[in-house]
Amino acid sequence: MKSFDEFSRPLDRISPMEKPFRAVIRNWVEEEVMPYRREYDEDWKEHRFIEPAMEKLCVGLGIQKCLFPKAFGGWGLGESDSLAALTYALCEEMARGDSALSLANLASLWSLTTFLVKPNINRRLAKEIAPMFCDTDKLCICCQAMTEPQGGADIENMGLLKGRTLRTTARLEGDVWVINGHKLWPTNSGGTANLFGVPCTTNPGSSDPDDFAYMMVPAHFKGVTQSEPYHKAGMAADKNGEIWFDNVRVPSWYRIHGPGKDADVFKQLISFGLLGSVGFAMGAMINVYEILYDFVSGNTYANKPLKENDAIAGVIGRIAGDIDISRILSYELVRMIDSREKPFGNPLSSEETIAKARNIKDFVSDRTVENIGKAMDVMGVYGSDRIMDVEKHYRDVKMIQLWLGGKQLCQAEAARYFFNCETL
Amino acid sequence: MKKDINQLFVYPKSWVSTETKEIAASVRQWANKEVIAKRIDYQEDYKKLFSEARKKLAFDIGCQGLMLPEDSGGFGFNRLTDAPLLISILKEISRADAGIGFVHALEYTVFSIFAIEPVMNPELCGKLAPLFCSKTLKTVSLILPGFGKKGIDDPLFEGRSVRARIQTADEKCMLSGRDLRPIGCGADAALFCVICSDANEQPCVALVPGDSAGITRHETIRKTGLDGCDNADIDFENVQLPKENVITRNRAAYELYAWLNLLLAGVSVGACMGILEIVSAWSGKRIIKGKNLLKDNPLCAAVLADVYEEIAIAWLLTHNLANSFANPGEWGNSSSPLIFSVSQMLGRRVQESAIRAINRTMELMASEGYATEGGVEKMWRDVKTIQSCLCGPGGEVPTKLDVAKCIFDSQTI
Repeated sequence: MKSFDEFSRPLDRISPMEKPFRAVIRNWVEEEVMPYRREYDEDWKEHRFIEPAMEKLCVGLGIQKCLFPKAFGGWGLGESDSLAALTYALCEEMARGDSALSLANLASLWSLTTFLVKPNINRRLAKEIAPMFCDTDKLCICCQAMTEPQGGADIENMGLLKGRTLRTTARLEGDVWVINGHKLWPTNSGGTANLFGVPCTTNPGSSDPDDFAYMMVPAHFKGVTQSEPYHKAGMAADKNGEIWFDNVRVPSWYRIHGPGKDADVFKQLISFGLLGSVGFAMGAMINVYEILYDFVSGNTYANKPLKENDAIAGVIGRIAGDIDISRILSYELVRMIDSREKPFGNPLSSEETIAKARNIKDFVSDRTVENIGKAMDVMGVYGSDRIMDVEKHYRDVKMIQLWLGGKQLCQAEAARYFFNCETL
Repeated sequence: MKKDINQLFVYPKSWVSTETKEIAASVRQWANKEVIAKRIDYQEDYKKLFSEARKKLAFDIGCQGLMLPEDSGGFGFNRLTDAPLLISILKEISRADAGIGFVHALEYTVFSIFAIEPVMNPELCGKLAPLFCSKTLKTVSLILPGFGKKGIDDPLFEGRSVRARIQTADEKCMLSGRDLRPIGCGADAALFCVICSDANEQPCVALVPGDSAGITRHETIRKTGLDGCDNADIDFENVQLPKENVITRNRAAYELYAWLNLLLAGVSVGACMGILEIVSAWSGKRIIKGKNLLKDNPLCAAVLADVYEEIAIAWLLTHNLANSFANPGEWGNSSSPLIFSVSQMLGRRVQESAIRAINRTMELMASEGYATEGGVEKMWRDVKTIQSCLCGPGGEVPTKLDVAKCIFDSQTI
């Protein structure tokens, strides 16, 4: 194998844009991330190293406007047939340098997909929001403010709970929505976000999809408060905190679509989150492979390179094999999402897509946590040393396994679809 | 946790004496008062409070120098029959903070080869005891054979490169070695214990006071966990040692491996006891699906059972191993090929169970498990650091090959 680019990809159907796009992002990673990433952990609160890198990516390279229609100053990626492929490539390339940075970037785009990606483009809202992201030389970050204090995975569990446990409320007063509630832990909170995407209920306790509402809420609006970020095991480039909405008044057209469709689009959003998750996991695993390659080639056991010992080869061979299989699965998820409007595709909100997407995310994130842990062990006393650049990935990728409802929701959604469970 | 955690694990009660239980109880009181009761403050001001908690444990309870003979100023817990006691103490310490447990595990490991009966060396105890019987916190660092570099043929200890060399002339020995990576505490150790090779390329063990001339400590290493235990790479440049500081006893290096695996198993089991208490309390408060306690959901309850199962297995294996150390007449002492192999095998298995238990806990607790304030992520980082440090070159492979050599007489591996 000549380079990590030889991990399997469906070369017959990847977008022609993917190669140059990857090259641009890879260059940014080499110049803006790799030299500084060992300092990210101590930078979790200030983002002195992290924010300039994000700014170069989002403003300098223009990633923050990629989803917006060309007519409003964007790249029109939301209307592309290769949206998932390019999003995946972006996540993987960035996560090779730092999965939290990749997460912070994708999460910023994530909420915007609710009204900027076909077939759900809301042009009025797109036009209204576009200047924040497209006509500016400043970093603009969005936050998908989903989780609430009373139940981490419940909001994501749309298949069963259908928004019934939501406590953040939206009340229509004339042509203004009044929002009240408390959100916890979303990526790009902790003072980072300029704009929030907020799942709410117009009728607390209801599981009627018509009562589920998704609002875009600018962070500077009166009544929005953010906490300081939390300190955590890793993922320093992603700030997490609490957000309070206290009688926040937003124009009525800041509700992304309306009764029924908001709930459907929110389910679609989950699939994009799962796609990003496998991209982050893959990027981290590929980088660990690069590091491990050098380590097992230059260090010895019984005076032979580690990789030339049959038993150690068995361990590292399994790691590489898992990376390759995970890559194949990741591109299957890309295919599912990019064929969502094709005759052979399924809507992203379908039970089939959600179950299969969760399955892939669960599998890939498990393999990632396990294999990076194994890589640390292969490196013995050097595995936990930050200078080797593996242990940080280990701390970061654990979070990928935990979010979006974690393993248990992935298992429940898979059982619900594959076994037609009725009460899960 | 409503239940007494020490009543949750089923094992022969004869394995732990009444005296051990009493001493463990006093360490538990220290843990509850000095760490667990102020966990959030402890984590926010870790460096300072780590040191304060260590001082109380070391001097008020007497855990520093515990294994040194009484006539050297220690507490005299230096019999093989004290192995279950050492494990019990390390578990109780590590239930609060595996970092402090780790410091003591290294200390006890190194003392095991010169302070414990029947291999007790009064001369060495007399020389080294004052370091640890003072009222100043001290750490011990352990340098094991490990990775070699491609193109360099090193003397080997069971396949692992021995990169420290000792030369003997008259009554003096001279230790050399560069860029040696200790298991821990290299940055501030008062005593280094180094497996090195002699002129015949045979392994021996050098005890090197930390203030000896010729020692260079590199920069402190930033690492995954064990935050209070500062480690650094070490150079020994012609460090002169009295001859008695070099233990040439047959298979002393094997004893170190056996004790290290046993004692670090105790540390990780202790960390898991802390985890069990945290997840038990959390799952009894957390509501899911808008109405049910998390522990009453069958899927989550099954994960909780997995967590307990892993910890219970680790607990049993650890106490079983300690008991075999305490009864060398049954299976051989810690230098025997069987105990050397089995202690590594069980040590590895305990670390795997521990990390699996914490991983599963984090899966349930999600962001709460990942946030510093939840108290779980620190244990996760600490235990993972211990697990990786215990691995030889190539992860679990050297240990497995040691077992194959012992059990199957494999000869060319």
